[in-house]
Amino acid sequence: MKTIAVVAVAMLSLPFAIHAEEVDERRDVVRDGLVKIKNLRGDIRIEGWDEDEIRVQGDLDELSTGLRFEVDGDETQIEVQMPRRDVNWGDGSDLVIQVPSISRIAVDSVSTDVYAENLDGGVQLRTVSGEIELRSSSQTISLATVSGRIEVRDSSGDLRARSSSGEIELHSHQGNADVETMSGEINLVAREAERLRGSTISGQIEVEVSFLQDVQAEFASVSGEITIEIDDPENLSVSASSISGEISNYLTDDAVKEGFGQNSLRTQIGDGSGSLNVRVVSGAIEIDEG
Amino acid sequence: MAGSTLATFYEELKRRRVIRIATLYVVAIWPVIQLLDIISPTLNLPESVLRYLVIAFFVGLPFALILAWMFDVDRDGIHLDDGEEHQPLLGSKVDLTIVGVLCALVVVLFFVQVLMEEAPTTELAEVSTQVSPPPLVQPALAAPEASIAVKPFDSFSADPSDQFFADGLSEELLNVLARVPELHVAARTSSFAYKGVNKNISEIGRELNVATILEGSVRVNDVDNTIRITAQLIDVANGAHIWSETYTRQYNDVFRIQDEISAAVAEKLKVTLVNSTGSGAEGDVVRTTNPEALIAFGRGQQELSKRTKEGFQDAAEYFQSAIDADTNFALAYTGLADALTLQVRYKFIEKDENLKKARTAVDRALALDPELGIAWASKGLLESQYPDRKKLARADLEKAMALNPSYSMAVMWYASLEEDQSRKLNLYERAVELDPKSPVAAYNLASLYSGQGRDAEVMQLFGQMVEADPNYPKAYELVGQVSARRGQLGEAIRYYLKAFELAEDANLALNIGKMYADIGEFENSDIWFEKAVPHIPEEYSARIQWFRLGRYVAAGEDEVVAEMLDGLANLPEGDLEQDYNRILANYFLGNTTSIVSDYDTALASGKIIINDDQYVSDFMTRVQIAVADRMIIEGKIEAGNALLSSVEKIVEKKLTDPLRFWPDDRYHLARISAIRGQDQLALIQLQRAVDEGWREHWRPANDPALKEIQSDRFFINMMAGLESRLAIIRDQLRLEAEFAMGS
Repeated sequence: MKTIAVVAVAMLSLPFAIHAEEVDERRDVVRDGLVKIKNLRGDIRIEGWDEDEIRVQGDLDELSTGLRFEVDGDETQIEVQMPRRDVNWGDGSDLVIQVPSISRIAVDSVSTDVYAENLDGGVQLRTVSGEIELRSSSQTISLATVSGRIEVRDSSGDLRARSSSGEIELHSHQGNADVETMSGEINLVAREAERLRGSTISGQIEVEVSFLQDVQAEFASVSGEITIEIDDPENLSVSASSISGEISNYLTDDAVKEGFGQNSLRTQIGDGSGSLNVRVVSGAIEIDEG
Repeated sequence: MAGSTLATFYEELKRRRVIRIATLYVVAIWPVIQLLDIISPTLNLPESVLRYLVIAFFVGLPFALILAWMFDVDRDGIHLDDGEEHQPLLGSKVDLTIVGVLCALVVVLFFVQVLMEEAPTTELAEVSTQVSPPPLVQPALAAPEASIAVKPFDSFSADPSDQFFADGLSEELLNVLARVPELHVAARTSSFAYKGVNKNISEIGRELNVATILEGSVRVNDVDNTIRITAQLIDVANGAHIWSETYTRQYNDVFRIQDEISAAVAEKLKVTLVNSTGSGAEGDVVRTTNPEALIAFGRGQQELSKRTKEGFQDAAEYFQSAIDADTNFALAYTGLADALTLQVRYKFIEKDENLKKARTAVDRALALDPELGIAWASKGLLESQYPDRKKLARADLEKAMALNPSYSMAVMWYASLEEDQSRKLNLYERAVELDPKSPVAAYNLASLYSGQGRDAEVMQLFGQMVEADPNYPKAYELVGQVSARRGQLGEAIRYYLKAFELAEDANLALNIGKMYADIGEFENSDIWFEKAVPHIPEEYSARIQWFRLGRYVAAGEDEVVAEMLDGLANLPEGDLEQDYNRILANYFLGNTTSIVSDYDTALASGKIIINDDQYVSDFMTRVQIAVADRMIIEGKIEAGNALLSSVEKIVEKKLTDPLRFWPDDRYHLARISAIRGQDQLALIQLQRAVDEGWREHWRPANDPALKEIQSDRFFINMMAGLESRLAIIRDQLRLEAEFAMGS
């Protein structure tokens, strides 16, 4: 027994070799300040909390030259500092950053997956080849990636999402949304919006939406299909056109017209104060009641 | 006396149970190490964890013995040893049981490891394919049996020079193995991308499509000038060590160690090393025995891979240093030749002087080793810079590919000379397949895909490029181009800015200026045009004028527009492009009387267009539509319609060409339809152009070819919609800047 205890003590007391530098730092900050986060590679997780401080913990990039974590008035800079050149090997950062939940968050990253939740002061998350996942957040939301996927759940406010080739999924978004991708798909479930816009070149668009009075909605695709499901449609004018694709109208009895080299649909429900404009070049359009 | 002291000490060790604890410590630690060795690939643990744990266990042994000497654990608890014999907490039977269990565990683990090493490779390979998504260019389903990747050897030193020495050593091994015809060797860029990356061997092997991986470490001891190299050949399918060896020699003996490692690898993979690369005179010339040369060469390779102006200059200096250190180092001459030639190819430097120096270097490399494939590739690249030597360039590159089929740069440079687009595409795909982690190979393939409108593939390759090197400027430039073509001007500006931040370039500045003009940010547009214009060669000044014209048309600055068009209309005599510039400028100025005759005169002049490229193809279309418009207005209906039909055929062919995507083509069709009086069709084509990403909103309202539809309600709404979309982009860029500005 003594032997096993000694072995255990000896093992636990010995240092383990770790490639990347570990950090665990805290700074006091104002609750509604701006937090700028910069990271080149790896994974960043940002969590809103009720403390008046920011905590950064995890592993820095293997090639990092250090962590810049500075507070200046209501602005905080968190930057994984990297050499300007020769970043072509090694693993990236893996950090968890806890911030006051009403902070404004601006993330600028490259090969980084960004996960954020419980942020109610506005977020601007940018990555290049990584994915973005945002949960339970509100205010102005701006998300952009080139080749990654964007997923948003339980959000509210003005949202803008851009991805070049990744899929964009908005689950239970409450408020305005402007979503654009080149070749990715768009899945949008939205409530209480005044303005909705979605466009893709070759991807599909699937929208499930509740229309209120005076909503302005526009969806466009070149070669993808667009499917729109409208819950409890009340006052809405619908305009849809497709040059070579089929248009299916299950919302009203109005027929699709052919002419001038394209198929088109004009129909109205109630006083037509809301507007839905759907346009494709070669894809199909389906409009249905949810 | 001494004997009795030793006997007493031994008795005391026994009484304090120190010997028993030492035995149990070793027996307990051994299965732990074994277990970790087996499960570390599954847990994705870096090898250093195991290495440091072993060190930790050895360091822990004296502590365990000291604790055992000092303390006693009995039924009364833990206390300092008082010299008395106490009843132990557990009897010796329990101790023996623990030892027995641990010994049994050792035996079980030993058999598990043996079984794993003998497991069929295919099953494990299939499992490993489910780990992560496949690369864009799919490798063959099963890695060739005789295939290898040389992972850069680790350096146990904080000194960067030692790391470059280790890189150079690894690269030389790679080059020796690459010359074995029946052996597929993963390219340098791809193998080196895994330096320090926390991935297990099966993942790396699958991604590089190789069956074995050679890895190792280098420890340089500056005190006694020795070097200790450990090398191991690993079977990708099951992670088993096929062979391993440790060499401790004098620093200068590195060449012999390389020979021994490559010979061992060849023997294990049942291939034969090419004589010229083995030991002997011819082998010597490919490689170097000089550590300084090796280090400088490694640095040069790293700089060269960046493909930036600064990178080329630094690479040339490093390769020159390598040559200075070893004047018989053939590979260093090829590196120097490439760095010099590529500076010309990328238009960073004037041709003559650089290419002369490059030829001297490549000739020297080939004199040292006439069978060095990499040198033939360098020569092919050099010859390709001369328009009249393309045939020779192709022959040299073919020879390079025959001598070294694994060298992806030879395939890539050969592809750049290929005129058949389909064959060109296949060759670029082959280059990426050979070197999946090379940013430049991925960039060339992505550029071709981009021209075809294959955005999804472009973006996937972009992800590969950025993952391999997040600071590779061309990757961002490419995404800027794709975004601009698809109408995402905010993204285009963002990525062009990022590319410019990484490598300043006049063409980038010009594109940023144009994007800002298109969204109505004229102040920013002027700033970027000013950055670009002084660096654009004089021969392109007219093109720049057209580029900038859009900014003043968009801003409604009619006087400046008229002034610029006057300048273009009065250009001095030059090549055919110059004549067309005058014709188009007069068309927009409304000086239409001589357009048709000027066009006929220009055609009959026998002049050619000197800088013939994609710009000219699009520019020609604009000119011909303008001339056809004037012909019809002047009553030359038949000739006008014939010219329109001819242009329409060309544009439609371009639109249906799966190897080309250019949104302006759709706009040209709208102009042709409008001139013909097919207003509705023109409007639909214009809308389609907008939907596909065409964004030059200032053009239609000022285009004489569209005058018949400019007052149409649909046209007005369409242009208003386009302008409002651009205003959203403008506002969004402003909001983003403000958001990140703070208070």
